[in-house]
Amino acid sequence: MNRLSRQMNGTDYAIYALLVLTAIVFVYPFYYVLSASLSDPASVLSHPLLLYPVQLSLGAYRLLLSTDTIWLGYGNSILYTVCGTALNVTVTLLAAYALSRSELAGRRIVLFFIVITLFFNGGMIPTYLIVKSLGLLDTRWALIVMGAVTTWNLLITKTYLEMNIPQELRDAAEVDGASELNFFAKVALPLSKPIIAVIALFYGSGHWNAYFNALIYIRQRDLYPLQVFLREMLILDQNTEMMGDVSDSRALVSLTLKFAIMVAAIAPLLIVFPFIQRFFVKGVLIGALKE
Amino acid sequence: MSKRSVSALALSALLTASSVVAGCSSDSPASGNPGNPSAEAGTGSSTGTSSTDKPLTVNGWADFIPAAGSSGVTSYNDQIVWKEIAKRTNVTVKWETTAAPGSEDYKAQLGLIMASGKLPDLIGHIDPVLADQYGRQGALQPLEDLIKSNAPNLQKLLDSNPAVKGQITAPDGHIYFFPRLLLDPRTQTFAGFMLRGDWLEKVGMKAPDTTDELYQVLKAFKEKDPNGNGKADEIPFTDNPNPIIWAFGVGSRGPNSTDDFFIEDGKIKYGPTDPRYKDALQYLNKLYSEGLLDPEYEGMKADVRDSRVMQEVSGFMYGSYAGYLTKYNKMLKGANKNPGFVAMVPPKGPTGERNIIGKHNEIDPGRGTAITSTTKNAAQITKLMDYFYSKEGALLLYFGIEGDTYTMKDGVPTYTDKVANDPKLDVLSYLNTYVGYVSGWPSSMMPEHYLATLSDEGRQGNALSVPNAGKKKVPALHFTPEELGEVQSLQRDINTYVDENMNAFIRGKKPFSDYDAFQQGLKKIGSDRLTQLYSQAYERYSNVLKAK
Amino acid sequence: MELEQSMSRAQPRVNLWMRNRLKRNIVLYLFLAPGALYYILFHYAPMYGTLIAFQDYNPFQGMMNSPWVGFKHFQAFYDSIYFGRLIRNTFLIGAYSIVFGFTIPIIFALLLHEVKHTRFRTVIQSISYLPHFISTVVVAGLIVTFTSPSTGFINGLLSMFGAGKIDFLREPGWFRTVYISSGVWQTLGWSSIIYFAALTGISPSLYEAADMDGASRWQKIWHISLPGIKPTIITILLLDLGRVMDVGFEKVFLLYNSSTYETADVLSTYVYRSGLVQQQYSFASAVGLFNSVLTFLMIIIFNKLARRLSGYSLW
Repeated sequence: MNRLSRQMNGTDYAIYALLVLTAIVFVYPFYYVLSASLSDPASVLSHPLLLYPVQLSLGAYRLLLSTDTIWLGYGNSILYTVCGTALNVTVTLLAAYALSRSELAGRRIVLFFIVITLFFNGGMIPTYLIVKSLGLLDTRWALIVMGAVTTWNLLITKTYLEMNIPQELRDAAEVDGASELNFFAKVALPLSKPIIAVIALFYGSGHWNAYFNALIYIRQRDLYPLQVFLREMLILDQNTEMMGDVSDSRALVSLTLKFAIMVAAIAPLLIVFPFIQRFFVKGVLIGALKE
Repeated sequence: MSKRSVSALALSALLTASSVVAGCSSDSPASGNPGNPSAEAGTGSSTGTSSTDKPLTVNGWADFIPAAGSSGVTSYNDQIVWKEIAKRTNVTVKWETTAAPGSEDYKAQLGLIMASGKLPDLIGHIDPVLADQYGRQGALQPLEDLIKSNAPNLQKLLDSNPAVKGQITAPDGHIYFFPRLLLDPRTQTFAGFMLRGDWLEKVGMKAPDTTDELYQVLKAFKEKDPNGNGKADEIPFTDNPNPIIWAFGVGSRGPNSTDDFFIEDGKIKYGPTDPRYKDALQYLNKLYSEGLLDPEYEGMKADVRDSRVMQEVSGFMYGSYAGYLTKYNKMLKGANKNPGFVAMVPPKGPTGERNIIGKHNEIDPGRGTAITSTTKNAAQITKLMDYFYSKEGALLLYFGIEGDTYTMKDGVPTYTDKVANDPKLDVLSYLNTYVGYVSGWPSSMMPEHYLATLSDEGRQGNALSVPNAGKKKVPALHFTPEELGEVQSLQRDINTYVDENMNAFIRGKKPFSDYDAFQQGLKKIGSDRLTQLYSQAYERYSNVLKAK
Repeated sequence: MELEQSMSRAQPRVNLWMRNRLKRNIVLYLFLAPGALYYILFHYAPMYGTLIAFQDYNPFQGMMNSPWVGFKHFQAFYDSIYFGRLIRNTFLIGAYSIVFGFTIPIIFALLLHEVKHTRFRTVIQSISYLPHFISTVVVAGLIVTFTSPSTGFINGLLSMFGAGKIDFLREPGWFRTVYISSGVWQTLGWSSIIYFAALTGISPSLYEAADMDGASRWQKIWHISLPGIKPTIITILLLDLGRVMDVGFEKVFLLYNSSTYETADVLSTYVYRSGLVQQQYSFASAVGLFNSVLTFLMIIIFNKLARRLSGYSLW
């Protein structure tokens, strides 16, 4: 059914207008950060609202991008995000699927044990010791495996699968002689596209922003993800302000450096978002098989 | 199989698995031997260079962040100091450095290392209080005997400066870390008051000498439009006003001061319960209600302060000579404005004293290096550390290699262009990244180095501070673990209480008629007990002084 | 005779069904295995660490050798004159965050779902994620700038309309409003993602049928969209409730000062201030454990309620 052919009525326009307004409110601070990163430092302070870059200056970016660590960080982060998310989605989807089947024996108990972990945890040191005894310390695997499943993502995936892959569907396939694996691969998976997109987004951004785990589990600088380097620069910048003599230009750049850092962290994500959106469409089979 | 038995099976499998894995990885304490420092008498070389000892490689751990814009340096191993020192002392340190920006993360990492049981030989950056804590638990080597036998340079400094010994000795009588020493008064006074000298001229007044005169000057700043833009937008006194409280003779927490305690007549006293504290708050309240003190001073963030300075609305504040005075003048100049900040003599309060707190104690707080108890080479590592306390060692650390990073001009080491004029890094960042960790490595700080990082106004401020700084400042104190637990417990609530009330009085949210209730409240939550604990620690310190 | 015959024919069919169920369960448990392994290794194995709250833990000697102190830290926490205030502040901030932070994203997702122009919707959605990625430090900096009585534009607007200036960050009464509204702004778009995905799972034939019955837009939302995502709503509500006391340290720390301690000081900031230099592992652990037990009990109650009222629950 071609919805586009339907007329837009007054409420439609109102909704669109409201959304545009909220979009402006959402985008403004990022726009501010972008403008500030490109502005001449001294002017940034005298223009609190910054509707456009004031006196274009690339000083902050020049400083930022000439630090070797930035490129190393980008490379590592991309690796961790891609591999990590792939692992995350696989493990989570499989587990959530199992937990979404009401016929799973002991389902409620398993769920209970999973929910408990939301509240009680052993803390940083015992977890660290486990990671150490598994031999994961100071390896890339530590960052890829840690966080392989988060309870939050697991539960929302389970909910989605419960709602959208009802038992009747499974029973119908059973009659056709489909095995569990078959059913999962041929029916459940395609129907799960939207939720896969969602948790890929959540896990992916988690990996991209990861910082603390890297700090704890990794020693070699070569393995650090981007956020660690960015945070370093930020802290060092603040410390330098307190400590020593700074050259004239350097003193000013520190005002806008933090904005450039911010942009460097977000920019790659902006490229990825639109691709993910494509998966937020209805599964083709649903209409035919439901009800 | 029934549902119930499946669940039971699952449950027991879960529990068994958990306990098995937990058992395999439980943290076992490291087998440290804190009781017997090796009394290897070294070859007794007085300069610390022990070229007769055989070459040794040890492990070190520290935090390290190369400056933005630098390249080619990823850890201490790449630094000039460490490459050179291997040649001069035959000890090579293999550094593992962590990024850990921010001290909380660093402490967390140190805790993990302790828990893992695999300690390095040398911990490159440890806070003295943490050193006490871990030393007492047996993780670190007690150093006092090692120093006597292997560190002649340091021992000499300890003998001639009892205050140092008092401040590095833990309550159990041991020394657990090598301190960074600030013995020359010029290296101690690093902060003070500053104001716009050009504004003074504009309003036709001379530099204020007392707190009353300061009030007049601030008033003139507010009323006479010294920034010349025709608007009454001046906010004369900006940022944290706590340092002024010291002018009234009592202590207060604030920039460069972590306790409300102060020393007077050989006794340690608590600021907020002293009657002069009320005078100080009343003075600040007067400033605030007349619009002379920045209404947003509380919790003011760096960028707000920067904008106050750059928009030229603020004329007076307290800060470090390097980070504030030097930097702000540079920023103003860079923006084509007048770099008018100059240092100011600390004003005399009603009691006639001048006090500012911008002075470090003889040991740099928060910095130290420790040797772990699991090392097998304590003596030789001590010799290595001692080298830094010698003249050549200090020169190597603070200035690098002659001809490369410094030259001698009239007997004074001076940085070469390579260091002083690097296009991307300032002097301090250059040194910390390429040469060595000058901002925190144990050594006796060379005044020439510190002064080289300041501008002219900064040096002038430094000179003004030296005669007046920190007379009442509390030395670094050490608490026993029981005391420390109680101190922290009390301070949690007391500091919160003091902060809330102090700022309420200053901002006029509470009238001074409530002041007595404030005092009673303080006593009720234990300010007397806190003072008593501090007195105990101070007594211990004084005893160490007398014992020498 | 006939009965016996039909029963003997029924037996094998029942057995077959049970065998299939067993087979399916085994396969399902295989699916579950990697995830379960993860939980065992990284959540349950370290679980003994919660006992740190009952010790004077020091990392070097480890748990085996650190002294046991029972409820000492809990007592110290309880004895603090600020105990009640901290709990109250943490709870109120958490509760208000849920009330607004939970409901508004649902509304936003519903609105987005009403948009038929795909490209417009994609753009708006992508933009709505942006605030989530702006670091807390920057957001706090922006808040400080915008609310400043001297230079902020909010006060600028206020004085334009003749109202007096408000120092938002130094008035205890305003703290919660500032904190929560900025929080909603920051998480709105991101939180709405899951609801939107759930909405796409609702069968279009339901809407078509409603159209034929002449249902209005709002009726469709109320009777089709919302019920269609009910399990998702309940799951997330329960998960959010489980984190009501988890008021994040960083943002409060960046926005508060002693003038607003009255409403802003929460458990995490209080513990941080008490840290001084020494690591307070056990104290922090005790406060955390206290927190956990409270919220856990609360969730058990709410979970039962959800099951009774709506038929759906977390477990």
